[in-house]
Amino acid sequence: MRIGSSLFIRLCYNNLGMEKPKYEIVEHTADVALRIYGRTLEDLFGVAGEALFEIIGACRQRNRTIRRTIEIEADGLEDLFHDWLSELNYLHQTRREVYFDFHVLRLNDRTLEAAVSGEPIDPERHKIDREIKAVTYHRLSVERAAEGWQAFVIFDI
Amino acid sequence: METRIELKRLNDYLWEIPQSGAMRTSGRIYASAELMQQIRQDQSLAQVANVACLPGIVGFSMAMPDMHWGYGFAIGGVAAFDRDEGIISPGGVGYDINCGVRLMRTALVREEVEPHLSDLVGAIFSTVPSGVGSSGRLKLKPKELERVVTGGARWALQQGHGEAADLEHIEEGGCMRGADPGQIGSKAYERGRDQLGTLGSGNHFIEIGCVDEVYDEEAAQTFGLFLGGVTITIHTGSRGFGHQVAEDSLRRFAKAAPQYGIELPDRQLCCAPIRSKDGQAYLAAMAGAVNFAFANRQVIGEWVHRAFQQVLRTPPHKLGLRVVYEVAHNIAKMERHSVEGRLREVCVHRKGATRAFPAGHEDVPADYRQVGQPVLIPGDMGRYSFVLAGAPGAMEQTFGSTCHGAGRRLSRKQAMKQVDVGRVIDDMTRRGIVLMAKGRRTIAEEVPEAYKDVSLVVDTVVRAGLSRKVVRLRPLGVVKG
Repeated sequence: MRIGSSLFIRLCYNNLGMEKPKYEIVEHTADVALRIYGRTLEDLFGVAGEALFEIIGACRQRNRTIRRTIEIEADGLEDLFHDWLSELNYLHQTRREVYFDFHVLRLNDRTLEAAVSGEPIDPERHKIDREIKAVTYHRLSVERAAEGWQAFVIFDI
Repeated sequence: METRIELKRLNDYLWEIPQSGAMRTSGRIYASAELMQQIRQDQSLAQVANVACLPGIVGFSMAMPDMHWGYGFAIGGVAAFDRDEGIISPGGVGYDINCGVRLMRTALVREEVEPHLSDLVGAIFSTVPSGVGSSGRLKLKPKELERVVTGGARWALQQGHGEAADLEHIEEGGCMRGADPGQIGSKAYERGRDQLGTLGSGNHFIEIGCVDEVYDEEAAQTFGLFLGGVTITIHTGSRGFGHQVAEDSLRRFAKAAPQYGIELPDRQLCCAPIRSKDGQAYLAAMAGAVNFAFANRQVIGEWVHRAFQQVLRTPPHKLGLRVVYEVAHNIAKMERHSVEGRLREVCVHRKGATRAFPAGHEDVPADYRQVGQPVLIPGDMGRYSFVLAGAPGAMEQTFGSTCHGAGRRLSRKQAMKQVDVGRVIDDMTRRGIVLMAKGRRTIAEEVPEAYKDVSLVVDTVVRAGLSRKVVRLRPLGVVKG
């Protein structure tokens, strides 16, 4: 993707930058793009969930008082990936919850079942300061990479 | 299209992407040389070229001077498609269906309002829910939401928000025909049930302003505007309800695409023939989201009116607060336009573009028909906004369309990195602008420096003959989510 001169990449590492980043936030003029990495597909989907909530805001003192199971059917991996993130955003906005753990139970190129855990939004501990209007299809990709899998997605904010 | 886009300069304000390859027509970009330098930095030119590939396109694939890249169509994109042979595309409307602007005028002058500005801004800030995840004061059951979908601003009026005369000064009379609640999925209703009467966040705002320059005295008087007069601008859209309608529609269109055999240069341009079941379903769902936004601004307008009454302790007849006009800038509409001397019905997509019908057009409110339709062009929160009037050039060149705002120049992260928010706030305070926002991040991301200078955008559309200047507004108080 050709990005204009206004490029800023924030790298999010597993630890002190000694390993490959879990994801990169690539910002552009109006919205937010993510490049996400995972050793396995399940890993990729899990990291994508974490990244979505990092975009939405910062949460300290995370509790896991809610657990939800998400089941999705779609035509292909990219649609599954899109619908997974859309569903997380939808639940976040309608249930007013934030999620911290994303455990993929079952995943193939047409179905996904995952368990997520988190808690209701608490304005004292959760600084939710971004609203994602939608997960876009623009340049959406899920593909094999040198060390596992990588995905690219843009959020309309 | 990923290749470098060929661009030909036609004159001081107009550029062409020559027809080539899969393009069925040329692209036409309205921009000064200065603005084009910024436009070239992103992929929006390629997006204009992509739109030119879609079936049934009538005239050119166009973009306004505030353009920047979006999903499918560029923001600032305008394209019309033949009713029988052409397509409709949710990407040509955007996720925030009927994001738009309402301008209200008052009989007050700046000096009367300035001593009360903090209280006024505070009252609006506490009355109108704003910010990320804000829940509205209205919580609607699905059946009531369906009435919002079919009634739009009329529904809000029936609930006691505003006056009947407001509807005459809203595009589509505040209610787009053809909305079908059954074409909208349950997720949209779920997202929308407590969002009516909320501002949202990001670049949405409510602004108290005043007229600081008059360019067209006759038009200004006709619109009820005068030098020093206090105004209120509301910029918001269809909230999560509309976003979900857009997302569901894109999903539906992507599934249906193969049966139409339309080759797409970009998945986000997925589309269906206007006449098809999918095309008609989208029009009906989109109209519902359009009406949600009209109802939203009608409700917010009423709450702002009440805030003015309470803070200023002034009765309505002395406030003289009324709607000047309300425009949609993310919408697709069936309209009749003259094309090569023949009247044709086309579906005009305006994504980050505003309708700008000239004097004499039957869809301009009767009391404005001698002057033309008001066009509301918000700038950034620190500088100025403009009220224009539609001009004949718009009907001749752009299916009655013009720009919609300033357009972003810096990314959110750049804005936060490059601009000293404290200095910006101090500067605005020194100039007497009262600002209230839910979060410092919002202020940081929405600083004036993050946006193009709207006067450059307006000057371009004026030189092109698409609109003419009526007044300039400058901010006195701003509420942001």
